[in-house]
Amino acid sequence: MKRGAISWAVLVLLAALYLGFRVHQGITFDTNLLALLPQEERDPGVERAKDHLSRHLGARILLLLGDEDPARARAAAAALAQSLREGGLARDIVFDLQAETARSLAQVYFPYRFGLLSGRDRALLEEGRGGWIEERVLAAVFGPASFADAALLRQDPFLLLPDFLADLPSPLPRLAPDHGVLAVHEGAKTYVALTLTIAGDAFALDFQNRFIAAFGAAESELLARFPSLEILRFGAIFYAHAGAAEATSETSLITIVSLLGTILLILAVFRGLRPLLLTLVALGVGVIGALSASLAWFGTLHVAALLFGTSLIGIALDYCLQYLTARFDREAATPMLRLQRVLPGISLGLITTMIGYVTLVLAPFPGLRQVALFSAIGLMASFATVILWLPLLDRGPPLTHGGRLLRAADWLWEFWETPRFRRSRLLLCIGLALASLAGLARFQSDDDVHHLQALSPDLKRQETRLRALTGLGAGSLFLLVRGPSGDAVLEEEESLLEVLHAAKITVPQALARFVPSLARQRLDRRLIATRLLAPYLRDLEQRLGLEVPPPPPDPGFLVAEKLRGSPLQSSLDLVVEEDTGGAAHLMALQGDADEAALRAIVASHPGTTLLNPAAEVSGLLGQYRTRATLLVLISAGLMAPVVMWRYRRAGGFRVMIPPLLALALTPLLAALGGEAFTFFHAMALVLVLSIGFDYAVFCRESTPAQRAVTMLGVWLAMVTTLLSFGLLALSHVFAVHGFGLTLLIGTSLAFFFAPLAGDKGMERARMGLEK
Amino acid sequence: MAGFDRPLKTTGRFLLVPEGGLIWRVETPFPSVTVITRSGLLQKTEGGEATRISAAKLPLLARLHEFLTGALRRDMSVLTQDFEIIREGDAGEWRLLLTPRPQNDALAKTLRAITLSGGQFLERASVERGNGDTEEIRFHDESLAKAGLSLEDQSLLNEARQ
Repeated sequence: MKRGAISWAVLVLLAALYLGFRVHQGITFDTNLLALLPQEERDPGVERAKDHLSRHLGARILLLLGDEDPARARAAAAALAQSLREGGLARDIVFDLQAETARSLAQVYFPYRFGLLSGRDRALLEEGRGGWIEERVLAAVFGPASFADAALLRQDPFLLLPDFLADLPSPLPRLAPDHGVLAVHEGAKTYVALTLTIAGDAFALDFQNRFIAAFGAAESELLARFPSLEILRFGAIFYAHAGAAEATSETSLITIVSLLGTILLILAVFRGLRPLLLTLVALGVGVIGALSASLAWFGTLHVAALLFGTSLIGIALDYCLQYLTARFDREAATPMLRLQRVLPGISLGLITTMIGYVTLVLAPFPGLRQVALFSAIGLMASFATVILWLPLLDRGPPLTHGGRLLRAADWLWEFWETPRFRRSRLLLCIGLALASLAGLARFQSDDDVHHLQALSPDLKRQETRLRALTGLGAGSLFLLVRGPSGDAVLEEEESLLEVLHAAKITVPQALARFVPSLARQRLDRRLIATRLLAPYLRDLEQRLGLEVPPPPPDPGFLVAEKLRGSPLQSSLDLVVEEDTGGAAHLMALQGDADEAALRAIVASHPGTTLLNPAAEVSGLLGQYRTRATLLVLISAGLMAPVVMWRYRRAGGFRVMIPPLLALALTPLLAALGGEAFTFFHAMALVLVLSIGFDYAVFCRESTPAQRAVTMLGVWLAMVTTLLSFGLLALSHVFAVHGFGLTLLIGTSLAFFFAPLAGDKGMERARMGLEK
Repeated sequence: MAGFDRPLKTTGRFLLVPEGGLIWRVETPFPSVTVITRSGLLQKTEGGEATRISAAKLPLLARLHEFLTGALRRDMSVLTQDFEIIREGDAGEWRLLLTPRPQNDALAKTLRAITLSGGQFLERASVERGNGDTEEIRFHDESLAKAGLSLEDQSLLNEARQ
């Protein structure tokens, strides 16, 4: 016994040392949700595109600064840009057109004006209606408010370039240059736009906190200077931070309540500090063991695995409390005797739970594997601590207080077996059955990631307002277009743009709209030369009384690189990669595009992939949900032989009643309120099943004399589980809430039905009924 | 205008509709109609080819519309925001010299000065552009009409506002 404890201490020490070493090196937990997808299903090119997307387009922030005095709005934008620049947490901070966009758009395109056509001019020339373009020029020159002067007409006699420029898509179409900034007027207010790209990962908590703190400081400084200023913001980092902040503040409140509750409960029941410390030791060793083993095995750990794994280790509390409550058993005078009493029950509990967890390894999902290994190791470590250390650390005599507690704990057993509760039992069972049937009628599943996170309503309102003011159309839908070269991709984009246009899907951002492919530039040159200049230039010259010099020597073709340093530089972010091995570009689609139509278009364009990050996470959650549900059922099936082996067939069946009832009824009762079943509910069911088996096995192993003590242990386990997990049902984060609610219902049911697994108790009950 | 062999001479008619917009019809040498409203500019040729410039893309157009409607209401405050104004003469015969205020950069680049003169109505306008070109506009036979718009004019205004 002592030798076992010492060897275990050495092992725990080694694990702790390894963990310390890893922490010293700096552990980073994997936070990319898509890392949880099975490896073989991922396309590296698509992965790179998604990564690019989140680092560039997903890292953009758009701000509008509104004030009744346009000068104040401009000054505020300048001040904010200045302090953000000094903060160093953002790049590409743009608000001032003059400073940032030294080369104007016209300068970029001007040399290529005899080879660029707007969509409608190309259509006119293809239809042979070049004369219309000439008429348009004459109307413009002879009309009022004309911008065309002789200098411009000599360079671009058919004013094709202004038409091409007007045809360029604008990501923020309602904004217009005004006093050197991009602004929009609404009512009495002028809104000045400021765009920037964050210099870090929007979802990395550390960067998030630093950026939001810096931004908040700059914002309050600004509001002190300009009290009437309205600041509208839009960016993934704001949503991510608001979500994390809500979850953190809520979780810390829930944690405090549950921690205090648990501590008070254990103190009150045992009237001593030691049991509390022993519980902490058992759970602490579990977490240390789990963390060090998982880090050694996987190298890194996904943050989701860490969260679920830690929750699953929590079940070790059941064993710990079984052992600790054995001190109320006056016949078990020594620690060894107590251990002997509870050992069969908690060993069997461990075995069934391990089956439940290890089954998760069967799934080809890396996330579930990590959860399984993490929690299985943690659970074993806690179990070893309970059986090896606790008897040595807790040598006290049996506790003499608690008579009333024991009687109270025993009451549930009474309820199930005394004849006088027969009618209540019947009514309760009928009530539960009816409620479950009603739940079954409302049962539904939901994997939409948008429903799992409560988006901050204030940010949502700002986004809606900002979209209305600026005309910002891009959402979270993208097309990834791949091809052998950048030019081939541009050509593919052009063909896609036509199909998308026909399907009424707008494309706020696509490189091909700024840089036509070489084939298109060649076509446009030919159209301009043969169908416009040749037939109509002489006539135009005569009617204007202006001599147009011959076109300049061949300037070559326009290429994407020419956009660098221009106001359109940010459209280069659409290029994921472009080298000798091939090229990949992104096209940003309007957010509310019809997905079915898009999928049909993508299917007919090989090399094109639809990227919908939100839908992918939803799909992932759906896969995980079905897998987890299936695995719970499989593990229930695998646990059956174990209890059959121990209690024979009839006894085994009886032991399985409470966990299976809890497993079956929990989702139905949870559905009563109209709540959908998600992956998080399914994960909680893994725990519910294990908890159900634990309670049932403890009850089954108990003799009539120990019954009250056993029930006290089960009761304590139930209350602590409800305190630590059930309280999560109060969370506003739907995922956390779903997990908590399932455990709240499931643990209560498992507790309530647990005496049904009892052996002698049930027989006596039957005898009582027969009388 | 500099660079052309001869001055560009056009004749036509215009209609200024309070709170509606300006309809400017060119008859010679090349017929076209231009409508300026709060939403921007619409220019149509007889062939049917239409050009649109939205006020959102070119805020000067929106300002132009404001100047015109302001002038109709005899509200000079719209003009004084962006121009220094020198007045000469009396109500029977007046002259206004408008020069853009330097702080309105875009306007100052486009225009050097505008001279307006007239009596009961505006009779002459001379616009000196930023590039040195000048436009001389003479107004004849102006009249106020209280009657409603013709169907054609109304539909032009509607089309331009879309």
